[in-house]
Amino acid sequence: MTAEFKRLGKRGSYRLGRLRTQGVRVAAAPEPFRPSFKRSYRRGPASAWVLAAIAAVALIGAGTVIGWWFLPFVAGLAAGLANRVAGWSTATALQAVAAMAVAGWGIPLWWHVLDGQAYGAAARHIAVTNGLPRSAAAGLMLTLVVAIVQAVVGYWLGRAVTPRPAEI
Amino acid sequence: MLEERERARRLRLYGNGVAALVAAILVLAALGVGLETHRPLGPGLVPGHGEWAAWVRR
Repeated sequence: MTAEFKRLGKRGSYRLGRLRTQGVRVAAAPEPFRPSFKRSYRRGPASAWVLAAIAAVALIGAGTVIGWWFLPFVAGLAAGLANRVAGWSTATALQAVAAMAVAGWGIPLWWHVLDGQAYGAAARHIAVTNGLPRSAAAGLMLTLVVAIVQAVVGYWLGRAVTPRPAEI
Repeated sequence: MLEERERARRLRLYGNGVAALVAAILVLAALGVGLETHRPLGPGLVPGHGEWAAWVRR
């Protein structure tokens, strides 16, 4: 009784705050319903698109073995064309495409490093050649940026040539 | 009014398509030409580039 009396007038002593001090969990407020008149074009299970993205990563990675440096562009273009069916938002699709490109080139590079190849020296040289600080990380970042730029431009082209019905 | 809006929408779509095509050509051409004319760029910038093996052997 005395303890309750001392709590009077203090923050968290009343209503829901009191429940919280007693260890009773309070349900979070429900997310407000936001009506939208935008038509949903999303089709196919997300798992299928994730599998397609993994396949694209494998293809980009395999391309590095034979020197096909343009495969991030091709993968981005394919993603842009496929998005006509998939219907992902631009922000989601761009993040996925960038992740595909980074993984597609990053994994083989990492593999080369683990294999004991002197990628660090090459990356440092590339960084210096392009006016960046002499560090392997800078060279690596530049390589991954090249992959991302290719993939994003490919995605842009794919989306531009296959507009959705609402965009026509 | 509606026709004007329709025309503007089509123009925007075509403009976007042309801009995307030009960007794609520029990026691929810059990379392709850059890698051929400045071959030391290849090993670091593009994994799997033909110069990679030569660089690693150095």
